[in-house]
Amino acid sequence: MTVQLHNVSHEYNYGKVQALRGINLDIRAGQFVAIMGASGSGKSTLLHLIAGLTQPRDGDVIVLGHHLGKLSDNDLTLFRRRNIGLIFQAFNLLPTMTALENVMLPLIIDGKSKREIRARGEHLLRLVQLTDRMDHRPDELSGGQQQRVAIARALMNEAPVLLADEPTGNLDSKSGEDILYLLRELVERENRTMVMVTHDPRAAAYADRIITLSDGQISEELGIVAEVMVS
Amino acid sequence: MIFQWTGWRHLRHHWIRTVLSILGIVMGVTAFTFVPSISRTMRSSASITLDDIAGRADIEIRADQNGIDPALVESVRDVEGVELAVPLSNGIGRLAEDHDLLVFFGIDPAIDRQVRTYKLTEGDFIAGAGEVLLPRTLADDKDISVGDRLTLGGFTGSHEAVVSGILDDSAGVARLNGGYLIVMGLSDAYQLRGAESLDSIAIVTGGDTARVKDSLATVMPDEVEIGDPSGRNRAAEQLLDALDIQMSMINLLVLALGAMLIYNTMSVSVTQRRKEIGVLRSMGVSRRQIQRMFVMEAGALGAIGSALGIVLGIIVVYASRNLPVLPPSNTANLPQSTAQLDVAYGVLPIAFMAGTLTSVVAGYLPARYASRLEPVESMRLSQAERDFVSHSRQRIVIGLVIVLVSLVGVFSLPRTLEYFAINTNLIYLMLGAAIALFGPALIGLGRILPPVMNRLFGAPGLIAADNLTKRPRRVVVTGAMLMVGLWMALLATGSNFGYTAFMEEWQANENIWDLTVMGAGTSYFTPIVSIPPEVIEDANTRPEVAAAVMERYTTHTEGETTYYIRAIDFNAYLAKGARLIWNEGEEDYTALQNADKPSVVVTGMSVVIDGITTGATITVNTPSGEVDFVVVGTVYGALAPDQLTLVMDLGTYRQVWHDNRVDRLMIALEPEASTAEVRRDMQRDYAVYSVAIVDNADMQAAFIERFNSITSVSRLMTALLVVILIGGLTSTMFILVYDRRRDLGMLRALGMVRRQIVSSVILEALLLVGVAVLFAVPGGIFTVTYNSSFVHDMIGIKYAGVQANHVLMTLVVVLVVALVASFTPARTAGRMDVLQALRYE
Ligand SMILES: Nc1ncnc2c1ncn2[C@@H]1O[C@H](COP(=O)(O)OP(=O)(O)OP(=O)(O)O)[C@@H](O)[C@H]1O
Ligand SMILES: [Mg+2]
Repeated sequence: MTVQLHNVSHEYNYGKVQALRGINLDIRAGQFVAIMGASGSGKSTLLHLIAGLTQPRDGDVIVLGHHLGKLSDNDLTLFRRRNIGLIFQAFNLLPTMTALENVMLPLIIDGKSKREIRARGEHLLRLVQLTDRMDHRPDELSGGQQQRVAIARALMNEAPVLLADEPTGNLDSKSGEDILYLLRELVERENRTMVMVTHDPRAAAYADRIITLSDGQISEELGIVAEVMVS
Repeated sequence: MIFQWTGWRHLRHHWIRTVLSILGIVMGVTAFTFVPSISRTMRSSASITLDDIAGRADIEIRADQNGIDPALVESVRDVEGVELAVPLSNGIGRLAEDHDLLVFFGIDPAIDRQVRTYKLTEGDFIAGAGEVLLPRTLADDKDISVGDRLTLGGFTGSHEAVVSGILDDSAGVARLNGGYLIVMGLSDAYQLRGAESLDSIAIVTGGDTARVKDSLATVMPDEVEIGDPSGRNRAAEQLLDALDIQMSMINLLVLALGAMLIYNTMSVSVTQRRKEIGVLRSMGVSRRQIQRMFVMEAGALGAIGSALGIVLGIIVVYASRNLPVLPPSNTANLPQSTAQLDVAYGVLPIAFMAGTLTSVVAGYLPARYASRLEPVESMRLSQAERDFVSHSRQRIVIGLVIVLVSLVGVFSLPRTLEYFAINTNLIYLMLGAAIALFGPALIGLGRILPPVMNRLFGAPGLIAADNLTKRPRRVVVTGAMLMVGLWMALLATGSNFGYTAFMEEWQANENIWDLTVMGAGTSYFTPIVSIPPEVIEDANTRPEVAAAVMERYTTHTEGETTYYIRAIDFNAYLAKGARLIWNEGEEDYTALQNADKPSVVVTGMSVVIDGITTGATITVNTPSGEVDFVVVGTVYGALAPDQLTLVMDLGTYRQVWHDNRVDRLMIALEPEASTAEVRRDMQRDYAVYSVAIVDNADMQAAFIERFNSITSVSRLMTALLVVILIGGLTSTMFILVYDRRRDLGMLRALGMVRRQIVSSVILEALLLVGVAVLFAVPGGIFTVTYNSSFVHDMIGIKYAGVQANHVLMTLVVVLVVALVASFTPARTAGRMDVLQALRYE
């Protein structure tokens, strides 16, 4: 199992807000999972827990065999660096760096020199169709282009687990479809695991599984039938 | 109303930063209070010296080295319009069995109180011979009371006197020479001095002072000077003016640094409250209201800081009250008064206003920026940042033109006192240009720095360099502040090191003697009576004496000009390994020793004031007729440095002046001899002659004391700068951290560990400091070399040049500043919660 959640609960404001309650969830390698649900239902919180950006108040989060709740901040960070590809809704690109530099950032952080990773960065930008925008800074790119840079960046460290929080929220439907197609293909070809939060049913249609949250609990699962049948 | 409240809450919540920024203004205003107090005190010590010595006189007749014949007092009294003519004869000596040098102040007890002030606290005024008055300080230090019999050690043996009264030394004559002075009748003074001669005659006129002066000129010999009492202060005033310019520049700079701190704090405040501002704006709060909110905040901080600064300034002044603040120059042959450091109360309101106003201005700029913020701008590189980059070419051109103009100016203007102010300002102009060039330099480094830093320090290095060079607007103020601070620190410490280094050089080259035998006089440097041949002969035959080098030390007056002459027996002088400390010209004594072609070297002051340099010819009307002296070099005169001094060989002097007198014997002892014993023996043996035997170590001590008050001020300024720099850098690093919270959160999410974030912030501070160093070190070294050497020339000591260890030490201090300042912001950055940081807009 790539991702396992056992009885996970999470709360904010010292218990005033119950964001997740008793979540149990297993995700296998090579699965593309979409998470849906109303605003405030806990989708992002779930994603953050899997990414190791925060630790659950209750229950266990196990990703690729790591008990995230037991890791120190340093180990948790190193875990993210090596195993997680993150795509934020708000892109979060460094405004001072070019598209290419932003894409290479995850491996620069890991201590690689620009020279040895440049080819890979360029390849990824070609993949998201930004060949002619490599040396542009984020403020010279459109919202959709920035999102594609963010996606390329998430692919840079060849992480087995990709997490995306509404990756197509800022894209027109054509570019959105292109991106989703690309992600889908990656998951299939390279046996990666993908968890994507989305509001858009059309985007969710790319997934193998669709999990719906409401009020911090899993209320519905689609695609599980197909899963069972396959196994 | 609500804004004020949120503002206050914000300030309290971020109290460290608030305190730091207030500290900036506190420091600025403290300097603003303290520095004028010093220069005012210097001025007042010059003017009280004048009051204490010349008192209520309208005209002062001043003697040259040879004194005034007392008989002339009667002729002065006969001149029409002279109501009162009051003679003065002073000298140096000591109490028997005591080493402290005292001033003997000989007066006519019957009339002196009509021009000079004496405040008796005990006993009676002196009635005549055999009675003396002592200031309270001296009486207390030496445990002397009214009625005691004292043995005064003058130059003609000892002399007994009774203490008739004790003087309050808060004012008047008793204040001279720090209260180390003995007032006595003229006849006693003559005996102790070994000659019946006067130093000055103070004259009170009925009214027409100018006419009286003219008539006096007809009865007095040419070599005495007839002038206003204040004339004596003119040289001191000139020097003070020059010092004042420098001081006020430093003042302004410190205040500007304080303003930068406030600017920084307000910027952080603005960045942190961006969201709040956005909400307020969307609810219909006008730009103007937002601006007013920040300006009021800055004004309040400024007012609090200024008030504290004034209090601290006054405390500092009181704490440094026992700094000896002397007039900066002693050209008169008379003792000086030290004024007690006092607060220049007149500047307090100005300091308060300046502090508050600068804060308001410093608060207005970020406020304007805040009120113009568009919510969408936060994620993008702000427009201001882009504008800044695109204007950098203009800045480069302007900056370089200013640098060029200042350099041309500095090098083409004469290095004389007249142009000192212009030269100094040109140098400060250059500092301004460096500030303009700072931003473009950062931008320019944007190509080189990031890859280099990446290679050296990995991702933290890259991110630090990238942020610093691609978003320079944020840091340029702090960078410039660091640069200015470092520049000033180099200047301040440069002076200290200069003095120390020169003292060492003087000690190793010129002051190699153990003892100096000199004719009686008014100070170490001004003998009045020559040394009798018997003394010279005896000194040379003593077994403990290895060498006794003769020197004639006198003056030569020609119309307006008075030359001081030091004629040294260079053969013996050089044989003992002594040498002068040369400034210009090749160090070569053969030309000096050739009596057929008279040549001289001159001291630094002649260069600065009169523009006399190597190669010039000075024509002097000597007993052998008009003689052209060729100037073969300039030297740093440690003795009588601030006067126009001609140094020549004794042989040349004797041949030209037909004068065989000797005023000083520089004595080197055999290695096994004890300086103290020989001195005591000589004192005993030569008691009948008018000579003093001075320990050269004492001479050095007197010399050091002269510079102590100057260096302690610059030490204080340096400490102040360091505090300000730490505060400024800290708040800037906070801005950089808060401003990029979201970026930092993203980097953490991508896998940067805390340690990497922390080192990135610290590296950024170090880089900023590094760029500041890039500017400040050459600039500072230039300023120190140019400016200090000039000031040193004026006070007659050699500027030792910038020393590597001094620059190194300053750099270490700056490094520590950077580390200390970035520590807290870096830790804050490292501890930031990833999700919270990501959510931050
Ligand atoms: N930092 C926080 N402090 C307090 N409450 C929080 C915080 N973050 C999220 N919450 C609350 O937790 C609940 C779940 O939030 P979450 O962001 O996971 O929702 P979401 O499903 O992603 O919503 P959306 O579709 O609007 O992005 C919400 O009620 C939200 O108000
Ligand atoms: Mg969400």
